[in-house]
This record gives sequence, C-alpha cells and structure tokens, in this order.
Amino acid sequence: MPLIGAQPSETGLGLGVQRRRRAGRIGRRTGGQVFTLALILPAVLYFLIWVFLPGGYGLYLSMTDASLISSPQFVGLQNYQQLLHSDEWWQTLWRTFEYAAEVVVPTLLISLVMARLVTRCRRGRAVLMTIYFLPYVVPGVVAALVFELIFQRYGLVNSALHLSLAWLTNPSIAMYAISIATIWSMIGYYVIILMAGYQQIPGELIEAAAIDGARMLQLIRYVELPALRPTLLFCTISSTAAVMTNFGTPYVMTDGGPSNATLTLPLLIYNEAFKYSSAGLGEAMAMVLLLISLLLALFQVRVLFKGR
Amino acid sequence: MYSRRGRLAFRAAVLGSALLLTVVACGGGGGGSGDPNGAATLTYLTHFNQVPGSAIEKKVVNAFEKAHPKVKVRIMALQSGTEFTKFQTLASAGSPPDVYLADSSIMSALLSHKVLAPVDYKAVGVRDKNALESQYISGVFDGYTVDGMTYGLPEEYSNYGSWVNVKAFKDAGLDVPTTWDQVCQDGSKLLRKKNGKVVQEEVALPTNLSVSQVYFLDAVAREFGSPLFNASGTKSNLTSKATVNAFTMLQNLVYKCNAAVPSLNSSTQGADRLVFGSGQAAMMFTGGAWYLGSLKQQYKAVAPPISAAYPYPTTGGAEPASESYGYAWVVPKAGKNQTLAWKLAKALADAGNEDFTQMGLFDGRKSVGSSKAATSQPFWTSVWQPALAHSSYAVSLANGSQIDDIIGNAFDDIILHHGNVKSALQNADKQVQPLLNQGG
Amino acid sequence: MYKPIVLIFRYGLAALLAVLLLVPLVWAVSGSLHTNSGLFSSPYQWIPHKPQFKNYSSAWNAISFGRELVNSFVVGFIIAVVGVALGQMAGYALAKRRFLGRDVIFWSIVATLMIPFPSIMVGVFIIAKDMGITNSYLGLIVPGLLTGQIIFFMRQYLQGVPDELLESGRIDGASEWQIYFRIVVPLSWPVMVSMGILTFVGSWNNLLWPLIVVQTQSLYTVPLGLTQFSSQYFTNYTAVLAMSVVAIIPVIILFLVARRRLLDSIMVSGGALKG
Repeated sequence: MPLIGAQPSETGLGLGVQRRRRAGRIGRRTGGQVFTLALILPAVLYFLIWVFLPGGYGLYLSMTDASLISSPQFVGLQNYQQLLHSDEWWQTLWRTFEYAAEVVVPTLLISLVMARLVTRCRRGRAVLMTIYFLPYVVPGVVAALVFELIFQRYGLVNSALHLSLAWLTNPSIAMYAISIATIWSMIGYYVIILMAGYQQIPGELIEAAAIDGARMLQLIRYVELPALRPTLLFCTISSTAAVMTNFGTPYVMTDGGPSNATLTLPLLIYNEAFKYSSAGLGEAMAMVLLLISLLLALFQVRVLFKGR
Repeated sequence: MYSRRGRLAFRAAVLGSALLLTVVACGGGGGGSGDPNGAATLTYLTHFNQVPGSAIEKKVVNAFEKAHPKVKVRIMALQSGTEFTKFQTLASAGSPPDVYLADSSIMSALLSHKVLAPVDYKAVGVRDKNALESQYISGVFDGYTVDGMTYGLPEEYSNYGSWVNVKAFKDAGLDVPTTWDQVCQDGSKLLRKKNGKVVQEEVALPTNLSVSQVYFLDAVAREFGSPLFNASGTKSNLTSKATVNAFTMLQNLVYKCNAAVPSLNSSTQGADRLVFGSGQAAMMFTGGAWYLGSLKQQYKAVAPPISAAYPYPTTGGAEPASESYGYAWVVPKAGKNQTLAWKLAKALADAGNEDFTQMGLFDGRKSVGSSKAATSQPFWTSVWQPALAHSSYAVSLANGSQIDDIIGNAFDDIILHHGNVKSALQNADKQVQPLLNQGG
Repeated sequence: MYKPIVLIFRYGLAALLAVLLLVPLVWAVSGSLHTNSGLFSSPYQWIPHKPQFKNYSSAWNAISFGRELVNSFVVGFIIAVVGVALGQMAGYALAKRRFLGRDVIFWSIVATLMIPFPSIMVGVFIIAKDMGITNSYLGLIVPGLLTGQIIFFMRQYLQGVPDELLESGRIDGASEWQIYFRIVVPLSWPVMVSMGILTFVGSWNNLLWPLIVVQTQSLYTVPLGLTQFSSQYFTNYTAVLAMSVVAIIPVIILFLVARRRLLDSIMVSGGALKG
C-alpha cells in the first residue's frame, strides 16, 4: 500500500495542488467579485437611498404644490417662477452670500496667521494646536447660545469693549454677530489644514529665501502664498459651502431676525417646508442651493485635481 | 481555517451592527396604535413645557392612565410657538398626535387642510352641540367652528392687556397713562440710566414673536380706525391710514418720546415679557391674565402689588380694543383612537380646570368665570372678564404663521431700525397679498 | 538666530489669539455659576462672589438632560462605528479593487460631499417617513450613518498602501477576506479611529435632523434639548449655560484623549491636497 500508493499520491498531490490553485484562482475571481460587491454595495445603496433618491424626490416636489400635510399636485415650473419674482428670495440669496463672505475671508486670514504662528512656535506647539482646534469640537448649538448671551445689550462684548451696540436686535449689525460666532466655531479646522500646507513647503526654499535676505512680508508673498495656493483654494471653497449651508447658528441666535436680517437659505427652506406648509416652494429653493453647491464642488474638483 | 475565521469575524461585525440597530429600533417605539383589547398609546402635543403647566398636565394624564389601565399617554411638550411646525411634521409622517392643544390662530390652516375630526359629544359627556356650548360664554367656540361643525374643546380664552409696573410710575410721580399721548409724554420721565446703561424704559415693545406682535398691533390699529385684516381674512388693511398712523405712533414712542428702548430686548422670543419681568420696563403689552402666573413664579420682584393689569391705552375717546385668542384641544381625524382622545381632552378640560385658573388661564366656561378661583384672581373681575365678554376672535388666516412673520418683520424694522413706516408696510402688504384667504 | 523680540512678539500674538478663542468657553463656565442678572453685570465678575452651583442641579432636574446625554451618546456611537466600518470597506474597494463603474461611483460619492443637507432634508424626511422610522432611534441614526467624507478620506489613505503588501498576502495563499482582515483593517485602524471621533462629534453637534425627525421628548438629543430651554414666557439663561457646559464636556474629553491622532489625520488629509 505505501509503495503503491506513494507514487499516485505524489502525483496526485502535485496535480491536486495545481488543480486547487487553478480552482482557487477561478474561485478567487468570482469570490473576489463577491468580496468587492460586499465591500462597496452597502455604501452605494446608502447613497442611493439617502442622498440621490431624496435629491431626485426633491426635484420632483419642487415642481408640485406639496405641503407636508396634503398630497402634492404637479404645477410645473410655477415655484421657480415665483422665486424669480420674489424679493424675499433674492434678498435671502444675496444675504447668504454676504454671510459666506463675512465668515470666509476673516476665517482664512486669521487661520493663516495662526497656522504660521503655530508652525514657527517650536515650543508649546501641541498646546497651541489643541487650543486653536478646541472650538471646532464645541457643539454649534452651544457656541450659538453662548454667543447669543455675550452679544446681549449688556453682555460681555459690549462691557469689555465699552460699546453700547444692540448686536442682535439691530438689523444692520446682527449678521456680524452671527458671523463672529460662526468664525469662532470653524476656525480650528482650517488652522490645522493650513498647518499641513505649511509643512509641505520645503525647508530649503525658506532657508534660501532667508539667506537672500528676504523679509517676512517678501517671504510670505513670494514663497509661502504660492506654495499654499491649492490648500487655500480648498479652504475657501469648502468653508464657503459650509457657511452657506449652516443652519444652527442663525437658527439659535436670532431665528433669522430681526426683520429677516439674518435669514439665510437653509433657514428659509426650513421655514417654507416645515413652518409655512409650502414644501414645494421650499424644495425649489433647495434645488437652487444644491445647484450652487454643485457648481462650487465642480470648481473645487478642477482645482484639486488639476493636472491629474 | 484562516479564511473561515476572517469570514466569521466579518459576519459577526455585520450581525453585531444589525443587532444593535434592531435593539435601538425596538427601543424607539412606534406611534399610537389601536388594539382589540383596548390597549392603546395616545400621543398628546402641548405647549406646556415648563412648570406649572407641565405639572398640571402630568397630574391629569397620570389620573387618566389610572382610570384607563390599558392606555398609555405620551406627552410631547414643545416650546410654545413651535407646536404647529411639529404638528405638520407628525401629520405628514402619517402619525399626527391623537390630541393637540391648538392655537386658535392656526385653526384656519388646520381646517382648510381638513385634518381635524369634529367634537365627539358623547365622549366629552354632553348630549349635543348646544348642550356643550351653552356651558361657555358666547363666542368662545367661534374660533373652532366652521359650517356649523365644532372642532375644538376650549382650553383657554384670552386676550391681551397692558401690564404696568405701578410702582415705577408712582416713583416718577405719575399716574398710569390711559392714552397713547400720555404714554409718549411720560417717556422721558421714566427713562433711567446708570453709567450710560438704560436701567428702565417706560414701555417694552414686542419683538421677535410674530404671533403676539400681531395681536398687539391689530388692537392698536383698531383703535386708530381699522383692523389689520377684514373679517374674512381676504383683504389686508396694512397700507390703510389707520395702520400707518398706529405704526407711526409706536415708532415715535422709540424715536421721539424716549418711551421705549427696544434694543433692550434680547433676541429670544417674547423678550418684552422678560424685560418687563426683570423690572427694566414699566409697561408691557403682550400679556393676558395668564401673565400673572409668570410674574408670581418667575418674576417675583415685580409681581402684584408692584404691578397691575390695565386695558390698553387708547387714542383718547375710543374704546380700548383687543381681539381674543384661545387654545383648544383638537383631535386629528387620522387618529386611531378618537373616542379615547376626546375623553383625554375632556379629562384635561375638567381636572385641569381649577389649576389652570390658578395660572390665570380661563377656558371660557361660565361656571369657571364666576368661580371663586377666578374671581379671587387679581384684576379678573375688573379687567379681563369685561374685556373678554365682548371681544371676538382675531381673523384666522390660512397662511397665518407666514403672514404674522411678515408683519412682525415690518414692525421690527420700524422700531429697531427706524425704518420708513409707509414703505415698510407697503412692502409687507405686497408679500401678504398672495397669502390672504381666498374669497368666498 | 532669532532675535528675542521676534520670539516675544510671536509667542505674545499666539497666546493672545489662544486667549481670545478661550474667552467664550471660560465665560460659559463662569456664567453658569452666576445668577441671571449677574450675567450682565458691568464690569463682569469672572469669578462670581457666590457661585450658584445649584444652577446645575436645577437645570438638570428641569429637563431630562441625563436621558438626552444617553440618547446623544448612543446615536453618536452607533453612527461612528457603523459609518466608519462601511466607509472603510467602500474606501478599500475604491482604492484597491478593480470593478466596473468604479470611477463613476467614486465621483458620485465625492459629489455628495457638496450636497448640503438642507437641500435634501425634505426628501430625506419623506423617505424616513415612508420607511416608518421617524420619531425613533433608527430615524435619528440611519439617515446620518455614512458620509462621503469618510469614504473619501479612507480611499485617499488606502491608496497609499503599497500593492506589494496585498500581493504578498495573495502569494501566501490568503483569501481576499483574510487580506482584508489581516492587513487592510489593521493598517487603516488609526484613520478609522480619528474618522470615528470626527463622526461622533459631528453627530453629537447635529441639530437640524433631530429637530425634524424627533417628536417625543424621550428621544431628544443634547442640542435639541438645549434649544428647548427657553420659552416665550421665561428664559433661564444660567440653566442654559450650565447644561451647555455639561454638553461640551464629553466632546472635549474625547478630543483631548485622541488629540494627537485626530489632528495628525486631519493634517494628513490636508497635506494630501498638494496632489
């Protein structure tokens, strides 16, 4: 038995291994496809159901007279026409851009300064980074509640600066108060991103400039800013999108008031759909917001992946 | 072996998360549902989210659950002013609350969408419509009646008046003003500053809570000659001379008479009540009999006898005018346990009666109006009862919440920003026009 | 090399900015121990004469804040764990597997990064309603489970894993599942943890969706509870502040514990921008 059986078993083993390998490869190919499918399918299904379907449904609703209470009737482009002729809509759209500009520009300038400082402060860098990032993890509602109180007529801001401004009840300055609260909430994230950008600048470049006797402003102007360009563009676009779609801060601090002075698009959409029973009109607004965001995204993608 | 363990781990992970989701799914609990055994869960949407109101309702609900052992009641207490938003969301999800304490100003919206069930007279323990309505003073049901059908069981029937910090006026050597001219004249005398800080203004004007702003503004406009809307809500008088004069007078209180410093108001809703409660204003216009409860509970320093209720100042000669408003328990017709729901409404109406009256809430029942609890309330017999006896509901507009917001914004602009009265009102009117009730 | 004056200026400015950023938080803590009127005293007393510790107990008792903390925690934890797991799987597939439509899927997911929630919330709500999961934990969790951000970062990170590493596993005869669990998961673990923390914080801070989907008080999350503190009749500022401070504590602890890892992975993603 052992002798007889030895050879076949040897060849058998050899064949078996080969066969198994081949089978394995085929099995791996189909198994691999199942594997890939198992990896990607949940995510694909998730986005189909919870992002693309609601988006498509929203597009449909925007062409109906839907209210959340009664069933929708198709009305064509009527809602969009109504938007064209609504002063409130154009004012709100413009105000939303204003809000974005009021937040994005200071956020980027300040976080640039902070990132530069942190990169150059060798000692205590960890502490500074921690503190600078801290506001970013504070819940937006909490930040808004705290800022609502310190912006009161006799709150901390006025008493510390010896001012007597009605920050939240004066329509011409209420947006500034909201912007300051928003800047505080989001600045930490951009400090860290810009720090990463700073660290990408080759040290030799800065040293070379220093040897050439470049002063700080020249260094910033000719070496740092060009190197940070992609990072800055990313920050600009993503912070713009974040601000334009921010709901919590204005909702908590002023609920759009006084006199609509802080009413931004997300708030208006929420009001139309959930407060004024005009989900159709609200969805038409939402679709415009979506379009703006996608245009921004397209721009961002072109910037980020330029040359790839 | 290797592979199997990997697969096992993966399956375990997927199973684990699925299990976790199932657990929380069950924990969430569904909406109210009918059951042949009589077991049911009722949901109740209310705006009493703070004591003492919330405590009263909890007490009633506990007693109700004891009397109906198979029934569970889930109270959803929301910040006042946000209940209607929540109601719409719930209704759209096909699970409206079984009982809803609705504000009379949104009845028109509810009725035009046909979402309510008429009062179940048997369940609330009366023979018919007349038997129920004869228990109440006249007019209380007008806000809840359409085409002869009644849809609500009244919880509160109320109107606004002035709340006055009498001591502040006395300290300044003044009587409580009865006309708007006097209010203007007294402005500078009551304005107190300390280290550049305004510590006292004569009147706190309402900002940021459009429903209450509009009740007040409508009353003032009436004194000046016409209400903000016609009785059917199909026509707006926002650009009428009366409205312009009324809004101009109120703007002058701020910019000419030094009577009001609206920037003292915070950005929270109902900030004027806060300012008055903290003693910074000597007069306030958006409080009813119920405000006594707030004063006693939260603003003890200015509670009566420091403060007292009065009718609104007038233009001189004219009757003070103030429309009434109310709250009523309504039952959506999509509910599965409507009889039970009406029984709960009835229990709230009955058992809560005495306690609500203690809070200054009056449901419009004759017996309650002349009860000891009511007549022993300060100002009840002198101010509120006579005013309520001949007031009627403010116009109910189907798009009321949006229209209120538009008018409130115009008023905010006028008093906070010194906006031009005429153009602000014209602008508001332009926005309001397409939202008015459709004729008929 | 550096002049002392430059150093002093640099550190001075850095410290000043740090203090400015901390002021609102310190004020919140200090204010939560004041009385309602003490909040608006001038000059402001940073350390109240008589600290009102009872603000905390009375606020805690006034609403069921404990319940809200638990809700927020459960929701945030499940979203973080499940979301990161699914995101990592998809990220791996998009980074290392070849299959039909991969690029289309990747770019579609990138596009969702720019879809603002307010623009689809009505649709999301209606789908949740059709599934019958409004006003439940599932309703709070499921629609917020996965974000394009997680997948994007995971894919970027896993693309940096050398193919040889995976190939060596294949040569050893390991199955794809084995490679995934033995090589890929341990490799992506650090990024998964930081994405998990960011996701948790995002969920902890979310207001808009809970505001829409939740009706019952027993399902309230922390941000929702905080907005319910004021009413048109009375606003208890110090109670709001006290509960705000309580609401911040968990996220701050989480941040401090995982600080280095978290900041590093944000820097990595930021550094990747150079392309």
